[in-house]
Order: sequence, then structure tokens, then C-alpha cells
Amino acid sequence: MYVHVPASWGAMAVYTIMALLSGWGFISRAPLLHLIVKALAPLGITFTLISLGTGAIWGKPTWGTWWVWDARLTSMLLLLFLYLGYWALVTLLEDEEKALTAGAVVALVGWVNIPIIKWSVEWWQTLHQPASILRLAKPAIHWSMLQPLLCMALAFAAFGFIMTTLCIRIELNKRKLRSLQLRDRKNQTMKEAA
Amino acid sequence: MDLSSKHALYIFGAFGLAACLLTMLTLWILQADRKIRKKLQKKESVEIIFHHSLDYEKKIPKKKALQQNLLKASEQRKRQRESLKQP
Repeated sequence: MYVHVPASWGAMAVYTIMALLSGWGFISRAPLLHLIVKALAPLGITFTLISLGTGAIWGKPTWGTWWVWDARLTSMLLLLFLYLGYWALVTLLEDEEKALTAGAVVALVGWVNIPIIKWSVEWWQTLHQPASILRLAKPAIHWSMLQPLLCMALAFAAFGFIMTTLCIRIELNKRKLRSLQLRDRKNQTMKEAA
Repeated sequence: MDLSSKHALYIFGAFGLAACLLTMLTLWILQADRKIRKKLQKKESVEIIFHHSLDYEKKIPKKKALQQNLLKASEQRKRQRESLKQP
């Protein structure tokens, strides 16, 4: 629980931030925002994998099975596919601008899945347990368990922040290197023409 | 295997999986960061050498001119000494 729940929160929060920044990037036309979205993707993929893996490990002794086509689990799997689809688009397309734009569209449109993940348990009354913390009523979990859970959530958030910062630095350095290489190529072409 | 050790196995498995995935992510990011910084450093050091050499090339004409002037002056003094030696 102390790994599965923070990882699930992290996976959904990262996708929400990606969708928000993508939308803001389209409005403001700031390319840096799309770069930040790309930097967030690996973190989101990792959190989703942890959530699905630890959920399966929880499910085996609790429900007697590694996997069920439960609404919450299926929508979480769909989130993983959305993340992988985004990553495939931004890394495989040659034109970086087109890749980031296409990825941003995936991030924006795919955000529809997030409320489905959150409310699926209430809507379809499925196997996964309902919300104990993020709900309209008082948390259904005792403070002695809520405290370490919130500590782990904070730890995951701090880890996520550090990794995202490093990823943003990598993307900015890649751009810098590319612009230096393009300038060299331009100078060489001008010398040859002269 | 009794129930408690089986459950302990599941718990360790879950923590182990999370630790593995988080470690893999960290290592992948750190490696990519080091790789790109190395390439950029190499490119930027070439730039620094290039700019230094440009500055050096600007100084060379001045140095050459000074050397030529000194050479001219020493040749002039040599010619003067030779002209004084002649009767």
C-alpha cells in the first residue's frame, strides 16, 4: 500500500501536469513547455509500471489472481499505453517540433482517462477497493496509517521533482548541442560556397 | 511455506519491484545526462579553442609587423656600420 498508492497518485498527477502543460504550450506557443512534458514522460511510465506491478502482487494473495479486467486496473493499463504512445511519438518522429506537437495532442486527449481511473470504482462497483483518502467524506484510513502513506507520497514527489529537473536539463543540452552542430554545418557550407 | 512467510515474500517482492524500477529510471537518466554533457563539453571546448585561436590570429599580424620593423631597424643599423667601415 505504501508503494502502490503513492505510485498510482504519481502516475495520475504526472499525466495531469503533462496535459496542463501541453494545453498551456499550445496557447502560449512556448516550446519549453513541450520539452518539460517530454521530460515528465519517463517518470510517469515508471510510476504506472510500479502501480500495476505492486497492484498485481497485492492482488494475488488478496483476490487470488494476478490480474482481473476490473475498471480501475484496465483504465490504469490504458494510462500506461497512453504514456508509451506519447513516448513512441516524441522519440521516433524525426521532426522534433512535429513530434512534440503530436505528443502534446496525445497528452491532452488522453487526460480523459484520468477521471475514469479515479471514479471507475464508484461508477462500476468493481473489485478494486473504493477511495479511502481522496474522497468527499473524511478519510476512511486511520491516522497511524495515513501518516506513513503521506510521507511516502512526499518522497515519491521529491524523487519525481529531481528526476524531472535532470530530464529537463538533458533536453536543453540536446537542443544546445544541436544548434552548435547546425551552426558548424552552416559555416562549413558557406566556406565551401566561397 | 506458511502463510506469514508467503505474505512476507509478496511484500518483499513489491518493494523489490519498486526499488528496481526506480533505480533503473535513475541510472538511465544519469547516464543520458552524463553522455550529453560530455558531448556538449567537447563541442564547447572546441569552441573555446577556436575563439582563442581567432584572438591569436588577430594578434599575429601585429606581432609580425613588430618583428618586421625590428628586422628593418637591425638591417639599417648593419648597413650604416658597413658604410662607416668603408673608406
